[in-house]
Amino acid sequence: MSQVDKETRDMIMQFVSEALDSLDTNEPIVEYLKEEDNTEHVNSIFRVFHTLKGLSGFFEMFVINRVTHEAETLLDIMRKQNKPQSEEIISIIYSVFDFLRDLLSRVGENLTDKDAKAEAEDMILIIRDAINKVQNPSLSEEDFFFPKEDEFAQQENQMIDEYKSSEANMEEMLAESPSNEGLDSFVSNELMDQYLSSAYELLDTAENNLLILENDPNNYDLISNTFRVIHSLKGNSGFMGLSEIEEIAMEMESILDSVRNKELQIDTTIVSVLLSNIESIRNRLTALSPEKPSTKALSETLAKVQDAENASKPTEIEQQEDEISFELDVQEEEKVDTPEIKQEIQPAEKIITHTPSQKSVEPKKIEDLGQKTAPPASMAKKDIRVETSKIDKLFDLVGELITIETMVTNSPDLQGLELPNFMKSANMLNKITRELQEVTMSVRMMPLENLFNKMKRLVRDVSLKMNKKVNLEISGQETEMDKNVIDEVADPLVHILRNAIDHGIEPLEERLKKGKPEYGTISLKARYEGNEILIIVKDDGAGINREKILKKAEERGIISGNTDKMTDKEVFQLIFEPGFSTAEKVTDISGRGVGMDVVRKNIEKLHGSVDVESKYGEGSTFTLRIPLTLAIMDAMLIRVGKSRYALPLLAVTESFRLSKGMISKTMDGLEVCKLRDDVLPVLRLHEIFGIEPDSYDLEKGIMIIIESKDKQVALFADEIVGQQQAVIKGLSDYIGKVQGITGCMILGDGGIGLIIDIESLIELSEKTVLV
Amino acid sequence: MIQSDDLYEIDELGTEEDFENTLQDRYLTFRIGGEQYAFEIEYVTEIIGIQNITPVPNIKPFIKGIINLRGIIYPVVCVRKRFNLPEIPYNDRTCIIIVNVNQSGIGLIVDEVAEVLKILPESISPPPQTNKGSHSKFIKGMGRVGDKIKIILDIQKLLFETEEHNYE
Repeated sequence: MSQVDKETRDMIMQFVSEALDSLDTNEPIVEYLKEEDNTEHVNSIFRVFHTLKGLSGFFEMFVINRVTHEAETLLDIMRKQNKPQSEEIISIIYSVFDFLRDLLSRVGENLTDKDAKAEAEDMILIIRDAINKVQNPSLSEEDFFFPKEDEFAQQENQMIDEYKSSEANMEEMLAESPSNEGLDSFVSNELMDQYLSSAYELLDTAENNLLILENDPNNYDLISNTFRVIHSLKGNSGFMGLSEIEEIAMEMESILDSVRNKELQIDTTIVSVLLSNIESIRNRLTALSPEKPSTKALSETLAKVQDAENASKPTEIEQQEDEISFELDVQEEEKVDTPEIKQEIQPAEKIITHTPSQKSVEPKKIEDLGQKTAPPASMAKKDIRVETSKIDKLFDLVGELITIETMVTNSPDLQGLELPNFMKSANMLNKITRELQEVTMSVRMMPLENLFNKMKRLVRDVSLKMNKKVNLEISGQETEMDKNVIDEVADPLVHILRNAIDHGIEPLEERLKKGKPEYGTISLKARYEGNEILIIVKDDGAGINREKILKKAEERGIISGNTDKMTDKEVFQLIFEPGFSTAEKVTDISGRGVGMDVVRKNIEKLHGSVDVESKYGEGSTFTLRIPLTLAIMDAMLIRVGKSRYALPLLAVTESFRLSKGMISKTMDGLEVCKLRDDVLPVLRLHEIFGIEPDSYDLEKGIMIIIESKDKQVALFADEIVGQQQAVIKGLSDYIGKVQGITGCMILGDGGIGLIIDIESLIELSEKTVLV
Repeated sequence: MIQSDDLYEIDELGTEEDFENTLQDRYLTFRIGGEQYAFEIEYVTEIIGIQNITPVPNIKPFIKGIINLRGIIYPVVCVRKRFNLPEIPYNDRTCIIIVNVNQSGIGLIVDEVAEVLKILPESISPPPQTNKGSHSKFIKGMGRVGDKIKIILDIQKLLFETEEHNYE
């Protein structure tokens, strides 16, 4: 499909982005395949490939289709084996994920996967190899359960062919459908008509088959055929976003699958259940175009399905209320819950196919769904995909709006005027802009889960490569962060984790010698602290050798002179200097001295900071502190001489005028201020920033107590100007990082206020005092 | 001060048949002290009168601070200070030339903007080969226009070259 119209293009793009999401979401599960009792995980992965296979078939992307087909076969075998898989197999599955990701992103550009044929052949060979490996050791005990590989493949191929041909119709429809107004973002009326007619046809076939099967229950060809028919129906419905129908078809498919695998015997009950399902789908289809289908019917149907299954397996009714929680689409803020029933029927678990707009709910909730679930057509509409560039634009505009709002309401022209009505409207305007800002902000917030999941994979790969045993402990992945910030944090995090494995965690012999556990532990945590998010990477490895760093830094000419006075913190900061690397040998993982400086640069770009703590021999902790939002904060404006500064309001605890006797001065000239039971160092902003204040007399200005981490200081300024929402702007790359300043903001009068970075200001003041 | 008519002239250059060719060999000349300096017009995005500059603490001394130009923040460099010349009070001839170099928008404070000139490569002599004053490293060449000399600056070096002792 080199020449495609816009709708098809959009559909392909949606397919690509959903498929990529699904790969990302499910990748972490691969790791669990090496565990005992992994059925559930195997099923999840199976579903990924299965869905991809179906959709790629629909889009005539046969390269993806073939690869996913092979992968599905592999997973199917694993599913039946239900035993832990070797690292080798897991690596292969990972490589399939990578391959598909690569392929999909290329599809995103070229809209076709044809150019990847050759690579796909290699991939398929690798997967086949894996299939052999998985199969052979256990062939004798397994071949009772399922057909031999070639037969199996043949059967599947046949299935896929049929699937393709049934999809070919859809494909034609696509090409034909000229316009796209109405029903859904991409489902045109015409497309829907085509779907309906093909669905009716499929249902008719299935119905006929079932009636024959009732009298001839062992006709396995017919069973397979029925399975395929329902399978196609499920695929089409899923594609059309009709999740209810898909749901029912899925259940039917599961039953038929069990029948096909000789786990269930066809009898009258089963046939009647399936027939009533067909009826229910039909009803739904009829209801589709003119009116919305009743959702109550769904719960009834699903309940029936359960009953049937329970009835046919009276001894193993064990109905697991297993809740699999899938974060399928991280881009959407709102998630749609659709019903999904998960049941375990021994020995083989059923296939439940996920489409990327679903989230599972417990079966017991189904009763409520009649009221709760929205009709299918609107279901697909509940979350929409929006290009991030659009959101960014919106965000910028909101930023501008806030700036202008403050400029208008604080306009110097209004000074001294008595304007009650204006003030009332201005207050309302202010309220609305704030709300708008919050909403806009929340659109971009998403949990760190995806990022952390990627790190799981990274740690696995790197530790295998380095031949080190590492456990990654993750917590706080539900912490939400601005999407753009998450993207920026990814790289630094990769570097830090690589470093932790490469330089941190010691080789096995060394660990054992030191009496440490065989497995190194790296913990990756995230949490909120004030208006910051902390991402903490902690390892129990070798720790940082202060002397080694100092030596290296001297060699590199980064520092000179007496280094005894440097605190550990200062020394550890040296590793972020460009061109600094202590690794004796350069590995392909890390050690070329690029990396840590990138970490600091990227984090500073986000107005964040990196702290390193380390105990030699016991491990290191890297803490990334990142402001919650990049763009906007509540600020207190203060003035010193002609300059105005903004303090993050969250860091300000109180302010007051000094009275006599509150200040003492040490012999070094350090001023301290007594406030209730605390003694706080006084920090003269004019001194630190080298500016001329109105008055040097502490009693004439104002004291503002600010805190950062666990430190409190009394900041001396001429006056407090007011409070304002600050749209944070960078100081320009040309100026670079300025100590004590995070950025600047445009003030109501068009002037510029510098935004103070409290933590680094305190640091700066400590240095000034020492000198 | 440069008035909008002068700006228009710069604009107009761009509307001629071939933009690239028009910018070729065109230089913006400006005055600092008694000397005329020039750099390639292609870097120039705008020329404005002197603005209220917000000083930023603890930055390189030749960066005077930042300005807000229609909501965009630009750092401004004092070319006098960069040349180690004594600073003079700003007057109504003082201009800020906004340039775009290495994707950074930067303002340059100059005593006065003169004109846009065409200086062909053959009338540019190499910079004087002396070691007198480290600031000659900013010079790209000496342009001869009539009987006058325009010192052509290497704007990259002017803005981005850092002295070794800067990293302390």
